[in-house]
Amino acid sequence: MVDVDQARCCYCGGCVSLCPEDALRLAGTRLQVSPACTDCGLCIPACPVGALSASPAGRAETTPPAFAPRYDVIVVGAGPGGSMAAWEAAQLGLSVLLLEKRQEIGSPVRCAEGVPHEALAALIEPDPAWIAAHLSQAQIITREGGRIVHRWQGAGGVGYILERRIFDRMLAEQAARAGAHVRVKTPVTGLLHGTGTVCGVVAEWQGSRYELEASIVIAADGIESRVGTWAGLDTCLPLRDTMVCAQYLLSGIDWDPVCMGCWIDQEIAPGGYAWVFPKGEGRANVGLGLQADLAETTALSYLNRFIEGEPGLATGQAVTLVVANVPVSLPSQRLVGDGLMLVGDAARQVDALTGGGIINAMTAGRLAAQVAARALDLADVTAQSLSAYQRQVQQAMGKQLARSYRLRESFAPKERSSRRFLRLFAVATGSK
Amino acid sequence: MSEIQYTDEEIFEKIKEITVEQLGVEEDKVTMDARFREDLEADSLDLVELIMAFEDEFGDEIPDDDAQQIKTVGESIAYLKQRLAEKNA
Repeated sequence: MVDVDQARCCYCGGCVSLCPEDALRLAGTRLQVSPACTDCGLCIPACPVGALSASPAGRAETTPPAFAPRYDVIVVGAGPGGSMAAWEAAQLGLSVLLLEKRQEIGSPVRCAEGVPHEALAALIEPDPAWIAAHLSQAQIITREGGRIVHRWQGAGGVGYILERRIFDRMLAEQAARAGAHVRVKTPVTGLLHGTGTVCGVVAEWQGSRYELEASIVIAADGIESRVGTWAGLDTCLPLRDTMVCAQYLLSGIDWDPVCMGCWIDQEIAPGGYAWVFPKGEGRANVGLGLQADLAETTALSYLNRFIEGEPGLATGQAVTLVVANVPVSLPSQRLVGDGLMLVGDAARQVDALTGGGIINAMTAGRLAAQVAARALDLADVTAQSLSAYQRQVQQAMGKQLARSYRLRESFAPKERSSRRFLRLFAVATGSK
Repeated sequence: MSEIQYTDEEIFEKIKEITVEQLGVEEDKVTMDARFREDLEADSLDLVELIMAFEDEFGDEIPDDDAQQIKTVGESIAYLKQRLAEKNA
């Protein structure tokens, strides 16, 4: 039987079409070989990435000098936080390596893609290439038992709905243009430890394992942040501080293309809310997030039920399914270790009322890079030196994050159909 | 609705107390001329919370449109005095 190196396989499916025995099969993104395989070897030269071999020992070795012997900064994760950190660090003259475990930066999206105009413009010049829609209106409804309790309608809304597939890639490209090395499909599987300090990562790239040295590691590896855990930081999230989200990109809906919609309804999304974020041309991100410990069934089941109940949405066809968990805890107590900084969802820098995290991650990524540059100037990458990052993050978003968490705590889910909660929520989502 | 009668001085003191607590500012910064946004560094969400705290204290609902007109501590006092006077008339 031919051997499949799953770390290399990019699931293009070329080999499947060649197999005379029908022994190859793509199960989602995983290539499976059945015992029907006769080792004819036809598939092996057809693989563009060398993921197939006659036996594990016969695997083609590639040994290009893929990485520099050492980097000032290695950034783990090429979401908005990681790419922003890599971009800023490269601009500040540091040698930077940006690692992304997935094959394609920006995909699959795990996000509703809404950002406020002013906050985004402060970080990067908005570009039509990655903006799917401009929103100018918002409608927020609170419901109980299927009945509308309060409806708020007015100017505002989230500002922009991004096309994250393009946006994320653009940010990584900016980092690359500024001099950062970028590698995709390169999962980080561990950390290198010096004398008590993080001094690099272990990564898998195109079938080989690499020990990559760096003065500072910036972990922007998302809600699951394994890097933080490996470094001994507490990244465990309580169930009640996890929003379980499901979203479709629906095409063919009847909805005002400039209006953001939100539903606060404990039967539709217990402890969270449902949203419609238009993306132009009869399309919208239609999704919901619910508090993990309050859910009676899956987020996807809640979403299907929500869409069925909204005539303007029920006609839509789902062309993309997005699922994600969003951390809505208080921000992590410790964002730094010796040689390490946490950024974005990995650092729980998410607004607990809205679930918004893009702007905070980008802001934190930039701050982390700036602190890294200074720490390297001073040749001091200890946690104490890097704690300047923690102070600056506190200054930039500490109040907002703590307040949103406090507000979420102070309104029990059943009290969220009140006028008071609606007003707070409207302002938190950027509506006037 | 509140049955409590407030003197002007009591209204000012209450507003000051709530503002200090909600916004975490020094008491002596809460003057009649102090602007909530510019001088007391309140953002939009702070302002909504502040208005809701005023509503709790004075037992009256403040419509959003009215709330948006209130820019300074003095204006909030004038507004609440007028509301209370209308209610007690």
